Amino acid sequence: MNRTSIYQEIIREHNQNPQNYYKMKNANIYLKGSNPLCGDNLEIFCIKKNDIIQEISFHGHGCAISKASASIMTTVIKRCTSGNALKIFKVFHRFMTGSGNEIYKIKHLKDLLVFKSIIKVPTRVKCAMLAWYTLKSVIEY
Amino acid sequence: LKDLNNVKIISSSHMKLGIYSFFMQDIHSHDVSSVLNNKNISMRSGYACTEPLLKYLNVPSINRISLAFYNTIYEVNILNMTIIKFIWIFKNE
Repeated sequence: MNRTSIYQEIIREHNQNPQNYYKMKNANIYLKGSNPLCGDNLEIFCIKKNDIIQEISFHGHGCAISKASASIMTTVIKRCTSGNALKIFKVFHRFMTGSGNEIYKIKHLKDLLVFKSIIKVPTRVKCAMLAWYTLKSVIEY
Repeated sequence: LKDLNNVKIISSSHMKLGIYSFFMQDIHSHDVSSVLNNKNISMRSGYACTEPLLKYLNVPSINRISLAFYNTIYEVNILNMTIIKFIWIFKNE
């Protein structure tokens, strides 16, 4: 698999050893995201205090891209305020839909650039976005 | 495919047509179909409109290949080799 492949090393690594992959028992926000067409199911657990996402974890099954996307998302979003998390969601959404490239200017979002190769495969964009849409629901909860 | 440990073929009837549904432990069907897509092999993946049955069988999602007289042994070999390579990359790296 070469560099242009959608299964790059970082995606495979996050798929095999996902970060924050557990069911949080003391979460105060718990939401489910699912894609019934492909069978991806994702649960997001979150502890939000004073408008800050203090802990976030996910659980469920999905393809390598959706799992890697959720794993990277939890590392990026942790300890962000709701406003900042929503900004990051919008930046990533514009990046994935090809309508904006602000993501290149933000240093701590460079891990998300691995999904650049997926933009060329429109059917898989929804896999990468599943966790993020669920996060948006968490923020607006 | 039957000989691979990770691959489970659904239905073991002897009166089968050339339609095989299978799934892999810990590997999602969309990942399999994406890789085979690059080798010009197309297959159905996901729930295949049979969500209640798959939930009953406790299978997260399936791949389905349809073989007919226009397929060649060469294509079947590509399918086998790609799946073996894919399992090796996803499991052993």
